[in-house]
Amino acid sequence: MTIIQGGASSLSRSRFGPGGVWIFEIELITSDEEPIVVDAIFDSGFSNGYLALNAADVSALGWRLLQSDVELTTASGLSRFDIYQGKVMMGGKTYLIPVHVGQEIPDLLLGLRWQKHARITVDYRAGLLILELET
Amino acid sequence: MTTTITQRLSRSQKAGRIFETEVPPQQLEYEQKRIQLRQRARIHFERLKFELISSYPNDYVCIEPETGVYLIDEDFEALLYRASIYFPRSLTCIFGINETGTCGRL
Repeated sequence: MTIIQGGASSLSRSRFGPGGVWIFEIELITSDEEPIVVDAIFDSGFSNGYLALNAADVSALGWRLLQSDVELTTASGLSRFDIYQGKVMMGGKTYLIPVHVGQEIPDLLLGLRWQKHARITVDYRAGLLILELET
Repeated sequence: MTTTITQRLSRSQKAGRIFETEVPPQQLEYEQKRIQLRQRARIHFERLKFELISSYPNDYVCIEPETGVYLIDEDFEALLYRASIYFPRSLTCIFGINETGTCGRL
């Protein structure tokens, strides 16, 4: 069991952001096996995906295009996304996942699909934000 | 998606320009091809839609626009990988099996 948990230590991997958003620290692995540490916001309104990324960032990562022009319903109507084969590191484990890439995504977003591999415990008032990934 | 900036040549074709920026022609071609592909896949999807909604509601369909051959899977991720196995060389389009063809929300 791999656990991503925030806390008082300096090695904090998860925390509550401004407005109470759930922030997890993950690593994106480029095609040259170069890790990039980023903060990703967990978006409970993002169904069916693991990670969403802005189109401007994906060319630097060198990921492979799996499928183009998949439509998703967003707050502003239908929006087109490309699906890339992404590689991320969470809690010391690497995952090969499909990544949604769109023009209008402001942040890195983690989607509800992680629920299938992880148990997420949130208690804002106790300051607990834990993502337990199964091995 | 990327625009290449070529270095200034001593004898530039365009007077008064410092850099020659150009979108690679194969990229423009690819964009055009993708739009056409999507339209053709959409025609297949509209034809199949009502039949599929009754038998596979909320699943996903991957259509090969050239032939109209399609794959259905209840799992989006599984369908992505199956599509790359069944159609390794041709471009395909994925739709959600619902009224609009959307594959989830964000």
